Amino acid sequence: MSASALILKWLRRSEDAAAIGLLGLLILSVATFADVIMRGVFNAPIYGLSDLVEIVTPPVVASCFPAALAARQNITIRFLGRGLPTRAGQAVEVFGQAVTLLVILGIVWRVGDYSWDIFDNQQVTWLLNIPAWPSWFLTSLLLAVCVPIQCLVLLETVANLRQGNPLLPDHPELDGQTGNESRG
Amino acid sequence: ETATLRFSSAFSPMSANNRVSVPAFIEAVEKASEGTLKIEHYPGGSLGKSPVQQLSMVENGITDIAEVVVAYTPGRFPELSVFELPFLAETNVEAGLAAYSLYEKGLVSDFEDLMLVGIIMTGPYALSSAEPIANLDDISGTRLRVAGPIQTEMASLLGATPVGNVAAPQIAENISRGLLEGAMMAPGNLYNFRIADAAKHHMWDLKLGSVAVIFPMRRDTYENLPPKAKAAFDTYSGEWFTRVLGEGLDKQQEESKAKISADSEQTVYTWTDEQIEEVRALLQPVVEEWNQPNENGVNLYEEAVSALESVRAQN
Amino acid sequence: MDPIIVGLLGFAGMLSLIALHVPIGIAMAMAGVIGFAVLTGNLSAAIAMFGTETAGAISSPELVIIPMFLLMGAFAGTSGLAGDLYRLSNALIGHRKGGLAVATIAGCGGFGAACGSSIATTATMARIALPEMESRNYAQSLGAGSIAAGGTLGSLIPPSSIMLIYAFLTEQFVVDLFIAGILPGLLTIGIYILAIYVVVRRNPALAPAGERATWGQTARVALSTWGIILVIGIMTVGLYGGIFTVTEAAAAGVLVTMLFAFARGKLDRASLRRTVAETAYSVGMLYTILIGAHIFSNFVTLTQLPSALIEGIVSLDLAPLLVIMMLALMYIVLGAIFDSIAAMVITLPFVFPLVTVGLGYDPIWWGIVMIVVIEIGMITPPIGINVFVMHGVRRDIPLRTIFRGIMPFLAADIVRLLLIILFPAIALWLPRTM
Ligand code: NA
Ligand code: NA
Repeated sequence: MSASALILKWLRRSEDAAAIGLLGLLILSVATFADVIMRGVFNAPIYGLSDLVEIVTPPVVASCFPAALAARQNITIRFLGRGLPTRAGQAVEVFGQAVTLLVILGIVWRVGDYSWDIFDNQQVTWLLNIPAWPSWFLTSLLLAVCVPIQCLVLLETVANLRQGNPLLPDHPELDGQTGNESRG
Repeated sequence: ETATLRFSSAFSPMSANNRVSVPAFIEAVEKASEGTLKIEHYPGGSLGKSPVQQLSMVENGITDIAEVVVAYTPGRFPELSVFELPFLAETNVEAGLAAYSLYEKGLVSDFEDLMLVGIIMTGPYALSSAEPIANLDDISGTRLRVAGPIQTEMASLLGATPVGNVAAPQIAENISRGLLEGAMMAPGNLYNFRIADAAKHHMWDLKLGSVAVIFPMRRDTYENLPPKAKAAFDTYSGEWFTRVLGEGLDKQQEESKAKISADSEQTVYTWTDEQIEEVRALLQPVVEEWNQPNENGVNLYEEAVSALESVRAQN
Repeated sequence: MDPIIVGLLGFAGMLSLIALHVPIGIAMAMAGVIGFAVLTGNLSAAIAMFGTETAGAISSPELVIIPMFLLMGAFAGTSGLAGDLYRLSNALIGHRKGGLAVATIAGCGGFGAACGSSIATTATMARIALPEMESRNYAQSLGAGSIAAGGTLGSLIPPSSIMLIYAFLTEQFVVDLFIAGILPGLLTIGIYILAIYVVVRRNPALAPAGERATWGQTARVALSTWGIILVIGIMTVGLYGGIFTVTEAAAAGVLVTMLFAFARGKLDRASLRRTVAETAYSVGMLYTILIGAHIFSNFVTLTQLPSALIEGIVSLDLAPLLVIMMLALMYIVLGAIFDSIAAMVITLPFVFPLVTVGLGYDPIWWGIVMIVVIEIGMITPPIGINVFVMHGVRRDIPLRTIFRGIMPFLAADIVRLLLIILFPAIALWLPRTM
């Protein structure tokens, strides 16, 4: 399978991950709204809502990173590459994707380490003393998914460089199924 | 050779700590180090905005000393919560010094790789409300902002509805819009967070506990300092800095109370000794949870009480 | 090496990385980490910022309001609720030249009254208003420009998360700031409308007039807008009636718009997938920029660049009004090169005492001035967050086109900034009388 086809497959998967993450956001919204009702009508706010926010928020946000990466949604300015000859432009693009991979590796490594510290120190939520590590392990896992995705994106760009393909218009993926045809 | 340390805080550069106490500490240590030490002060989150990450920032060397609110990393330094119990400390200075003496006795866990440069026990907490609070009936049924499990339990025992998920800077807004009636709050912070603008009824006779803020530094950072810098730290970190921090907050607390008392729009209620005794009895269950040996066989409540007594005896 | 030189090299390095196709957030993070390592000589501490800043941002209970408002915006689009407002606008003023751009500004103001972030306002209105304007053959530059500029109303019209940050850092009462923002917000709407009027008069082809709707059509359209009016009503009444906090308003917005999408039969597999993907893309993109900006601003702090700037200004010993003007200019320049909120946070420790104690200006007024300047920074090239958000929602519109569309609004912004500086009563009259 070519890198492009693999990216598409991973894009679908990462969108599924984001869907589950945003389901978490919906749960958070429902709980927050239930708290308004409980507080306003019954004068009995939900004890431990802040614990839920604490646990749910990091994986919800982390679940969005792989999809944004697979769909190349991070804002990039490509004036230079477009002004250069095709191969030089692709070479600049390879550089940009490689630096992105480095930063992602740094983030995954350091957040993973932070999650391990939370496990190691037996950190808990504020009110209910729920262990905090499962939420952070899940968060680290979701961020780690970014690594293979960015590797594929980098591989694809290297292939484009070797084949001398022109730079794509920015983000054809946004129209849904995606501009893989032109990517070859 | 001059060593440089970074001292960071996620809180406002205008806070009493960042405006007065921390600069006083830096000045004293730098002077005593005879040019071997320089401490750069980074308040207002300019070296890392998240208050939750400050401890991590120290452990990773991004900063060397930070202002760390212990409540943001529950499960770490659990012993310090004992000072959140009611009717313990009366002032910031004595609470801080008592907590520091527990640390020196090795009763506070998790300090193998860290050392305590100073400690604050903000408090004692009291009550501020948008409605009169002349007696327990007034408190009953009100929505009260609380911080942490002990305050939550105290609010419930007082008959109020504890509301836990409101960040301190949002208290005033929530009171002024009627989402909250009042808050458990240290009187010194009433102007900081502009709570006095929204809650104009105050009662300071119940001492509702003190909340820990620590200033940790890595032990290896300390060990690697030049000898004179180390000696300067030995003199000014710990008790000296803890006292300066406490005095700064006590002064702020007195100013804040005086300002409120002089303001005709604000009302301060004085509760009788009988009322206070009634509350003391009401809150006894929270105290009892701590008044027993913990997993290490230490009765932290008794330790805190005796530490406070010896601090009072010395001052 | 002199920290200020390292700072300047760091800026140059970041801009070079951006030119070399490194995504903006990633470039800021990379430049920040390298610069931090150079200044402290501690590489492992610098790399640790990847962890502390990422963990801090993705777990922040304040920032999670942004994904909520984005999801709400996506549901508002999917359900057709957002389109309703534009059908009504079109029926009422669409037949005038530039009518829909005016309606966009008013819509941004209305949405800003329920939303605390100019980023979320821009993202939501981009989904709602742009397709409508395009279907009526508006120039993309005018359409995108009016949304990116109108989005700044999200921060100026209360509630506002920047006001929360300012109030927190300077210990002001946030409700005072909220109230102080109302008149400047209305003034902005008025001046933006004037800008549209001038632009369209000079080049009528930018905004073709539509057909005038009949009274019957208008009435029918008006009836169909009850849904969106209900949503804005719930959020506004909830916020000012003391029922909701900002987070709760966002949660209510998500639930109500989702229920509308469901009830109107618009939630099938495909549309749900699109809603999720759109939200996830924006959330991932925004948090990447936030994390990068935080890392970079930690480095900038170490370089002492901001304090050097302030000291330079103070040493000139100028008239107070001139200093204010220079500060405003400095923030526009700082905001042009990097994240504007970071610029405020870093400089506040020096600027706030200078302005309020040194020059004796009112802290609430200065808060409003700062927010206006910061919002200008959010639409100025090369780094204008609102423009990026606009571009993030609609990748087919080049950044250049959006920045071109911004220009008339930028001119309007300068006028309004001068008005607020010269007539502090615009900000202070309401909070003083209320
Ligand atoms: Na707003
Ligand atoms: Na800008």
